[in-house]
Amino acid sequence: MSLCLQVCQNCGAQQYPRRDICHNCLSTELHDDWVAPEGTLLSWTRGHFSVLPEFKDKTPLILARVKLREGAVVLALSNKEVSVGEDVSVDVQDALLTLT
Amino acid sequence: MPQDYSGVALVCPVTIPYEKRSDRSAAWWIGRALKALIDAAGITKSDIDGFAATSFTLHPDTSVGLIEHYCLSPRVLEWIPTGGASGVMAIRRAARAIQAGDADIVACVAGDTNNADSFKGILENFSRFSTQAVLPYGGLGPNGVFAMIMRQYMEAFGATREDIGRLAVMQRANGATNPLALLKGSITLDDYIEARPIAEPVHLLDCVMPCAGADGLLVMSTDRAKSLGLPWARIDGIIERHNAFPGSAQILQTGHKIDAANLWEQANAGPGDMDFLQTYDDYPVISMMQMEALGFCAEGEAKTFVAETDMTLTGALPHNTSGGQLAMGQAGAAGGYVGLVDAVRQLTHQPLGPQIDGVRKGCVMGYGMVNYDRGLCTSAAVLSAGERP
Repeated sequence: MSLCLQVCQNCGAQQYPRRDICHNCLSTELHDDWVAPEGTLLSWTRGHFSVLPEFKDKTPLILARVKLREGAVVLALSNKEVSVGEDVSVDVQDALLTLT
Repeated sequence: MPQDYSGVALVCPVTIPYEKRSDRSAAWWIGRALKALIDAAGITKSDIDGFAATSFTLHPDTSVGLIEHYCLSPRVLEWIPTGGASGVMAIRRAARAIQAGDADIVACVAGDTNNADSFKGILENFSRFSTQAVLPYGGLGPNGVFAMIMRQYMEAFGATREDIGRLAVMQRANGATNPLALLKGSITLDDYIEARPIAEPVHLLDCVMPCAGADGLLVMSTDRAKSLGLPWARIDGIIERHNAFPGSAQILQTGHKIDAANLWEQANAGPGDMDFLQTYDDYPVISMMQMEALGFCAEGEAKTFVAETDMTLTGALPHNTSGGQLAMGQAGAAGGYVGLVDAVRQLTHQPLGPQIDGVRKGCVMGYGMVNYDRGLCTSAAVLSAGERP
């Protein structure tokens, strides 16, 4: 499992979604770095309708909100049933953050 | 404490009847609201020297394009791209312009069209963060993000769908009295519970129906309102807060929480003094969070407050008196004006449905712009009845 997010080289802040400048110290020294993929599941939904053609036959689908151990909050799809408060690990699958 | 809003009048609340779909443009809808305002006030177009507009489907134009479209020459011009928080923000800026002498009559308008193209445009280009980090994740639209807020709220405070559904039922009862509501009639709690799932725990009767429409009102001095023979509402206090909790994962408190004491101090009143409450009702759980944020009840206690309070038009605290967006439909950014114009209607005795008995004061709340995982923009006002000629 590996997860790469924007990390500020000046203050070390991790950020998501991607930005052009550090949300914490406004430095422009941003690089993609490996970050700990573990986090806590804050919430989730089971979606029954998608506006995207590529998901039309994949509903219902599970979308989760996860707070990573190092602070960033990400939205990620999930391949399995989940519950609020559980420990999860975020991976990248088909270019999308995914709980596997 | 900020300077008060004395001498300012809110007049001529208008709603251009909503339509489920429209091939007309946002400029057409907003222009009809402008015409309705001029007719209602008995003024001419050239009397309007301040203009504040809000829309999601006007791209690439803003209020700048609209004034050329309508041949207006305002000396104050505002573009308020904050959706559900826009109405209160517009009257705040307009009121300050009136008080400072920068403008005499400010038209505050919001409107949107609704068709397959406009809906797609809003979904795909709502914000950069949304396009990048929400839309590709299953394409659930706003329902997906709001569903996650709703579940987090339910888990944190032990609220059930029944607890939340009671609010929707009372609000739709209010909407059943509104001739302009696109969704007619009332619903039962069973209807709410049995509605089909959209993005669980959001079900169909949590959702607003996208539609086309426009709303607006005029802001002027009380002297001008008096000379025009127009009944008016006063502003007793206003707050705004944007990105209230930056960097925090918490999404269960709305930004109103930070400035609630300031609002009540400005208004020299408290939640218990309000004769009605208009919250931004996309979705009912968001209304409950707003009630908690301004202190109508304690955090996490909205389920009890809603269960114990009659929020219909004849109840102790009528809530979303026109039925809100749950009944009216959501005409894009005009949803940020629905509670405001209905508050002014009630305070000036020009209701769409029944008049609330003895109404003196009310509170209007705004919540908007879910760019990523929460509503970023919040606003609230306390309004009171002015004179009626």
